Amino acid sequence: MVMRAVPLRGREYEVHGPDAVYEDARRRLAPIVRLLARRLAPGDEDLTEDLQQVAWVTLWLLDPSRFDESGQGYVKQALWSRMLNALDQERRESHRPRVFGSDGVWVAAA
Amino acid sequence: MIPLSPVLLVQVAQALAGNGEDHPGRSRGRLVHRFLREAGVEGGAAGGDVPWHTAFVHYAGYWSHFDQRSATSSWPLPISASCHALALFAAQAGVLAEHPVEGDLFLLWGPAEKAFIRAGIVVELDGTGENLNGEPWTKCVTIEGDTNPVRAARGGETLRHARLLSAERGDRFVRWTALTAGARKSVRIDAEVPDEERDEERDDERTAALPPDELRRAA
Repeated sequence: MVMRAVPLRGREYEVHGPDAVYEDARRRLAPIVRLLARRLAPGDEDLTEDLQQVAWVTLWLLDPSRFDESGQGYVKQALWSRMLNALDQERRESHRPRVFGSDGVWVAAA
Repeated sequence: MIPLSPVLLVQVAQALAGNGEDHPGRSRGRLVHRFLREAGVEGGAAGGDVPWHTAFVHYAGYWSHFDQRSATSSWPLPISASCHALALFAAQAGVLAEHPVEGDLFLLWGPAEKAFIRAGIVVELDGTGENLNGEPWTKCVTIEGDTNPVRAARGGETLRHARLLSAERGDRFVRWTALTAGARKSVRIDAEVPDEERDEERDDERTAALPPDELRRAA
């Protein structure tokens, strides 16, 4: 009798973890997240980067595998809301004066 | 009659892993047609655009408990290709659990749809943990149909996934081994069913009226 001691290889035999799902979603959402972050913190590269990190943590917590194409609006709204909250928190903590545009979005440090 | 056994279900699911649509997204092929047909989905192109993850679960369950001598299956869950209908049945029968054991069926909660969006089979428990926000999860190795490596909703393959499932996020588990095995005709639960075919002990009207959120609370 021949016993197979080595597991078979191939996508049909692998256990697919959450990392690949997350990376796929992150790749798809990167342009819109970058755009939103720049809109929220124009000219402030550090804050733009922070806001993007907030979005990626939020995306991980949401678990992208729970959303199909019809749920992408929900995901984007959740990322936007969390980035706004993070921006509010940053404003409160930094006490730096800001200049706001007519739509209420911070456009620059005073 | 074959006694209910999670081992049987898991072994059949293992055998089916790697199979699925002939050309995912373009041509479903005979196997997926069969999953859907046996789950009661009729029509040309085997139900058109109907997802087949729950039909896969039914197929694996039915044939893992099929007794050749009596030509019946002791698989206790009714025929359905709808994970929402499966959840309703499990809630009615009192077998909707918040924590998994190996062999359970999982029901994945979709926050956008506010409904269960996927069913599959838990084949292994691989530890517990907490998210950054404190939500506890159980890492489950699953076998599920109509998926792909990046878990597209309609991936067309049957694959193993490692999922972090959590009752706090809405996920539930169908503890079908707690049901009574029976060589009865399966009854579709996503279609109109004559009253006489229903279990008298069930409170159909109450449960059928439950929206998903109510169902979650009731569970």
